[in-house]
Amino acid sequence: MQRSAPRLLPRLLLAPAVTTLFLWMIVPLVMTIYFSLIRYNLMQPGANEFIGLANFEFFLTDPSFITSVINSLQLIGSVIIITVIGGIALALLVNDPFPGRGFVRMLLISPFFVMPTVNALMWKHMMMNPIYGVFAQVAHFFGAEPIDFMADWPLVSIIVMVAWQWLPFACLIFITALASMNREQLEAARMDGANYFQQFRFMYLPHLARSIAVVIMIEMIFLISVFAEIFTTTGGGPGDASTNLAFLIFKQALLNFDAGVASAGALLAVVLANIVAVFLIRMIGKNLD
Amino acid sequence: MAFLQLRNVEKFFGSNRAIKGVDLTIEKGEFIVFVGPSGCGKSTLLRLIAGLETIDSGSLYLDGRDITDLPSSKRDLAMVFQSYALYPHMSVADNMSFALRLAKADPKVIEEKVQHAAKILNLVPYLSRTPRELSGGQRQRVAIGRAIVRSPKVFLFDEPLSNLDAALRGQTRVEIAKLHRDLGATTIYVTHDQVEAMTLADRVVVLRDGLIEQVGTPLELYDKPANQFVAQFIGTPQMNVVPIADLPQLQAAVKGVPSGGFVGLRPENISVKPAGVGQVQGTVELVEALGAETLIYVNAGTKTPLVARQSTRPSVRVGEPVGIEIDAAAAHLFDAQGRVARAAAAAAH
Amino acid sequence: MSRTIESPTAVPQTATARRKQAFDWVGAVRAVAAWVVTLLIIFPILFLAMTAFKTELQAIEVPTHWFFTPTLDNFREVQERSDYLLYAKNSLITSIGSTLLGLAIAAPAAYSMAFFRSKRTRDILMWMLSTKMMPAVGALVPVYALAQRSGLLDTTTGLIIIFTLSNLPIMVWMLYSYFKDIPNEILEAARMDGAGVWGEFRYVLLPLGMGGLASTGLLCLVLAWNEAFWALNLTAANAGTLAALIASYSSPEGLFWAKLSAASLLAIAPIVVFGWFSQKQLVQGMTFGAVK
Repeated sequence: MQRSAPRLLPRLLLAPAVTTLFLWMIVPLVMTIYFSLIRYNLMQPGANEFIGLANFEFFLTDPSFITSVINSLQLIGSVIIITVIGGIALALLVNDPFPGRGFVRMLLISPFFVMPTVNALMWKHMMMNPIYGVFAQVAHFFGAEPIDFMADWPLVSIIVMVAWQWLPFACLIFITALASMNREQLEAARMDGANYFQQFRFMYLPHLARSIAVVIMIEMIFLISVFAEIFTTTGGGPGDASTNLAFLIFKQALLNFDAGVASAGALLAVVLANIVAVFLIRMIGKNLD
Repeated sequence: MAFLQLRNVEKFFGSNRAIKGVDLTIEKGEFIVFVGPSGCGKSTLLRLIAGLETIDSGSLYLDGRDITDLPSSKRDLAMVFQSYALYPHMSVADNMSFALRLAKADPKVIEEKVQHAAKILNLVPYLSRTPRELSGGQRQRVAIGRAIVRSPKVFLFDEPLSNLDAALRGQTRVEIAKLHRDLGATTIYVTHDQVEAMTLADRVVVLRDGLIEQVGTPLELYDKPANQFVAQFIGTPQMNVVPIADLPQLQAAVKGVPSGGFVGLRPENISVKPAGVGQVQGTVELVEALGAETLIYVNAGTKTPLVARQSTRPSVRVGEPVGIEIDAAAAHLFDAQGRVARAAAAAAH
Repeated sequence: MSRTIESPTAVPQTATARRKQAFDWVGAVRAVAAWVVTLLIIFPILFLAMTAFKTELQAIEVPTHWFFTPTLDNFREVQERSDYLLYAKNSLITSIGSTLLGLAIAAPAAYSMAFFRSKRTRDILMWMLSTKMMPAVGALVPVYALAQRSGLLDTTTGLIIIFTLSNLPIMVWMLYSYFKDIPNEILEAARMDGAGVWGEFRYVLLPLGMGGLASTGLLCLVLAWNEAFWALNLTAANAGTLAALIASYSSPEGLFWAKLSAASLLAIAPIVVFGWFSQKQLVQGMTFGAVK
């Protein structure tokens, strides 16, 4: 570094990014905290008196609150389980070379790039529609009654959509991680007499442990905010059967126009996300240098 | 008049005092080698001269000008990096002409200089290739070519041979020596390999822990080391340095050893004799027959075995009891702090 | 047994012949399984693509017709619908706009952190990461209120700003890791060769970092194009992106399968193709470099 170009230049270069992100972080946060403590209805601006923790109380005592939390947990949990197990299985399947492997990998990643709204409609109408959906036709083929997914199994439907979209993501991560496996270690294990399951348990799994952790945490962070699929298909229903925390907040804000309560809920969601983020950041931080 | 001068130069990395007040004068046309163990600060010193690190205190003069605070781009110095640092997206010709193009020199002149340098370095057939397509040795020559084209005031080399294999290293060393002879340019060369130091340098600067231990011609350093560190750093195999307390038998032959001090003898000043002959007795531990010479490691009760060098084929076997005869006139005496108390009197071998 | 190498020609013949007969059953089963599973997984997309070329009548027929004469009518009609073009234009404007804006802000920051590392560099990077981890819904109310007050609701400008802010951390991270891969010594060599800061940037950094800039830009493009949360909430008739358009198709009346499929296909095709080429960047970007 030249003495003639002191610390000023790097700071100047950093400034735009840091200031914008700082504002992006602080301003909504401060506003949310403020809104959560006042009465604020988007349809009746002006009647904003301080009401303390009343919004929080309202949000937490909403009968849908518990349901939405449980739904969120079910959604996140199921998707994680499906994508991790499925992702590992798929990654192992395409790990060794075979004709067309490159092409297969390209195709596999496709669902992740499909717009969430298209994803939702695709499944709702094409696959799950009880009259002409693909699942219905398969059911008829086997002589069974087709299931009305949206009405009878709304949360499951959402889970299927979201899992379908994130499976390739997990799979891709695991493929990348597997590619960095030490071949010689595997060969040594094979010579030591390990069969496939033993290899899996003692060699593949530990190596994948780190990427599994990353996948779980990244998915946790993004899955808290699942919204578009619910919005476009079930609208949170029937009732609140497929409402998750994010959708509940949205309902309060833009359907009930109660910004105060919505803000209270949002703070809750932020706190939850923070907890997960702390762990993820620590793990990524180790990888920084 | 000194061409390059360092006056009390200091460098801190955080709280670590990496360069501890270095004074050095270099004449025009000299080939100076900075040598020392890893972490001694030789590369740091080079980078301070280059301007890639800032000097925290002290000053640097080049050709009469104070360049202490001048940025690298204005110092008119050329550097050959250990990793060559070629521009991967440019051809060999563009790599070599980059500096001149930046200075907006006349394209005809640039072309001439590039061709000239390419001819000297056997790079003419590769001028349009990119670094990716070259071997390690070729890349290295491009790095050197890049420096030559600029005709800088001083050439700086940062361990240029350490990434080459042994055969190529020897070859390139000879080429660098020839280059210096032909161009006569002032050169500062950093290496941890003392063979390179001994063969290439007009003068050698031995560094340890951010301080200069000794400056002198290679043979000066070999024959008259200023302290134990230099004595053991220069010369392969290492000089035998023994505390006088471990071999009191030597006090008869070597007079004037300070109390608590050490006696230093180069392997060629020790000869292996039949048991019973010589000042010290011991057993043969290892025999290394190198063809042109033989190294014999003798266990004489000291911490490390004594190494003797003879120009004949092995005459003893492992485990055999032998005697050691020393050439007392060639002994170096060091005091308890490792400073030289008396250098060897005789230097002829 | 002290037999040395003898009659080398005798052995290889039979060995090669024997090798040809041993068929890799496991490998073959694996290959078939991989293909089958893959096709099953992307089946919905294939089905969507197929439906896009059918007529409306064919599209809702049960059981599905697998064989039919493809028609481009749907695509034509979709494009003729004036608001489709508007929405498509909005998607383009917002994704390209936010990508360029994002690169303009992120690149200098990444450069500064990669080449002028300080004690705080790591902390700053971590902090930038953490801003990405907050659920978007957490900022819904204030952003909506702000957008309303500043008149940016239902405008492409507003969306561009939001998209840029959402993707900024990822972009900084990715560019940082690309810039870090440029050996510092090459920049030092440029410095020794007489290049000032601008020279370093123009002759060395830019050409070498171009690949990283392109990859990062591509990823940002994908993320902005697919962005649904803000697109659904902050837009109405004017600035809606394709994501919003498709969502509006879901109202009970006016469900035209084939056209919907065609519109959807048009909406997702470019990005899916982009995605094929930016797989590696995706892994790096989405995991913030935790998985290499």
